[in-house]
Formats: sequence, C-alpha cells, structure tokens
Amino acid sequence: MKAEGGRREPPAVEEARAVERTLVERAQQGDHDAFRELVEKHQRRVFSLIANLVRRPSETEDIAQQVFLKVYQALPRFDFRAAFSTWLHRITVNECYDQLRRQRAQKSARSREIQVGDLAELDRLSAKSRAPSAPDPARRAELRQTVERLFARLSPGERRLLILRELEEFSIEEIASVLGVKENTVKVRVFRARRRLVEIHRRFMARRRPTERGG
Amino acid sequence: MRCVELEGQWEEWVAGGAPAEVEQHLRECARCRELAESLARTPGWLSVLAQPAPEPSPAFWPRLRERLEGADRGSDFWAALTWAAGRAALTLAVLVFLLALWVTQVVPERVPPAVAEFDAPQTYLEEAAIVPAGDPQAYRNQVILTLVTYSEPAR
Repeated sequence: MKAEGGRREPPAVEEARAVERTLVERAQQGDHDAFRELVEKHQRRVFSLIANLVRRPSETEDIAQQVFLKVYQALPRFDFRAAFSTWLHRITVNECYDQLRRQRAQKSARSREIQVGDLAELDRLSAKSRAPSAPDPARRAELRQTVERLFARLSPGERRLLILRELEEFSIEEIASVLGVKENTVKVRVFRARRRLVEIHRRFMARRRPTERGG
Repeated sequence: MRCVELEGQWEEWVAGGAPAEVEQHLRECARCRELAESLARTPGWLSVLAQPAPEPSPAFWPRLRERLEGADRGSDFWAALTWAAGRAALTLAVLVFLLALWVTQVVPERVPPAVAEFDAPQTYLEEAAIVPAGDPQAYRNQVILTLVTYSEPAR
C-alpha cells in the first residue's frame, strides 16, 4: 500500500495496516472479538481525545462508549478510503462536539477571576520549555483555570484545532484528514487561533494591570 | 515575502521546515517578529491544559459488548420492519394501480357520454328563465332588446 502522495510505507507499517484491515473486515461481518481488538488498540487515543476536548473526566468513559457504538453501527459503510484511525478520530471529534453542544454552559472555567500573577507565571512557564516543570499541584490547578478562562474566549473551532495540535499532537495532515479540510486551511486556522489566544492574553494583561496597581 | 504569508508558513517554521525567506522576513519585519515571539509562547500555555486521560474501567468492554448485542438485535428488528414495510408499500401500489385502471376503463362505460343539453338559443334562454317557455314572440322581443341594448350607436 502506498501512502498519500505516492510514498511507499515501511513494511512494518504496511503489515500493521493489513492486520487492521482484516480486523475491520471481520468486525464488519459482526465479529465482536475482532471489534474488541480494534477497541483495545485505539481506546487510549480515543479516551485522551475525549478527555481533552470535553474536559469532564467523569463523562469520558460514557462518551467513549457512545463513540465505539457509533463506530460499530457505521462499520458496514466504512470503505477503507481513509485509514481506520482517521475515521475513528473523526467520529470521536464529532461526538465530543455533539456532547459539548448539549452541555453548553461551561461554568467551571468562570469560577475564579484571572490574576495578573497567573498570567506572568504562565509566561515564565512557557518561556522555560514546551513541557514546563510544574509548580506545586494547587498552583498548577490555578494556572490551568487561568488558561481555561483565556481558552474559553476562543471559538469552539479554534479550541478544537489547538487541542488537536498541541495536546493531542496531531500533525497538520492528520488534522486535515479528521476535519475534512485542506492542509493549508489547517495551517492558516491554527495560526489564527494562536494569534487570537495571544490577543486575548494581551487584553487581559492590559485590563488587569491598572486595577491591580490601584488596588 | 508579505506579512500575510506567515499565516501558512508558521507551523512549518516552528517545526524547522519553512523556507529561509520566513527567517529573513522575521529579521526585517519588527511587527511579525513581535508576533512570532508571542505565538511561540502558546504551546507552553496550552500544555497546562492537558487532561490526563482516564484508563477504561474493567466494565468498559462488557458494557460495550452488551450495547453492541442490543444494536445487532435492533438492526435485525429494523431490517425485518423495513422488509415488511416494503412489502406493504408494494401491495398498496398494486391496489392503487388496479383501482385507477377500474376508474378509467370501467366506470366511463356506465356514464352516458356528455352531450349538449341545449340545441337552440331559445331553449337556452327558456332554461335560464330569461324568456317565458314556449313563447316565440317573447324570445324575438328579447333578442331585439338585447341587440338594441348592446349595439354601438351609429355615428
């Protein structure tokens, strides 16, 4: 099998794809054991996607159940034009967005006001490295709340892109396949989402500084 | 390179795969350089958001299997229902066709063909109670009156 663009896959990848194809074909015939193997192979990524996109740990497993049930029901229509994992991730992302639409009121992120100290610490964290050494857990939780608040100002589409790119570490090509858009569109949208986040951060800094000085 | 082109090149530039002209543009354009420095901070911010994914509970697969079996039963039921509905629709279509055939082919033979009920103007005027029945003089007068009423006056 050749990858997109005519590149030839390494033999190990081709073999893994062939094994997966066999499993999918068996599952399409209603073979639950084959489906179980597919679930076990992909569940970690599905759980991670749900956890990051929906951000409600207690609901992750229920949503994963729903995702795999939908996958099972749609399997007879899966035609191998995309990789099974891409198709599965697309269903997962869509299911997460259906869930978020149903429970739109996300009040937890608004429970605490942002402090300038939080933003400054965020900057220090981000200046150190991409995976910063964490402060103590309580402080980290506060910082997370701060970023959640900044993040909540983005549109759902911008949030989805940044989560896929930064937290799930999807490549631009993978995001394009999952969302069904061109790679260049993804690049531009990710750039704009980052720029919006920077603008929101700047606005918060500008608004909070005089208040803190005064108080 | 124009500033707007940075939009499509940024992700590659961060990964180290963008053309050298991006680097050159950032050296020359202070606005883009400042933006680039800010954008470079976003991965650090976002890393704070990472949610640890919970492990699937031991009940995950048994529960899912139960739902899959339910879906199988459901799909069998719907397949049977679809088959029965298809049969019913076909029967109904045949019945409608036969009824239409009967209405167009059989019923018209029983109904006498429509014919003109009035074969003369006088009969029509009588039927419409415009002139008294069986009175040719009244008919003649009525015709003259109509002609006088509606004819154009001579100029």
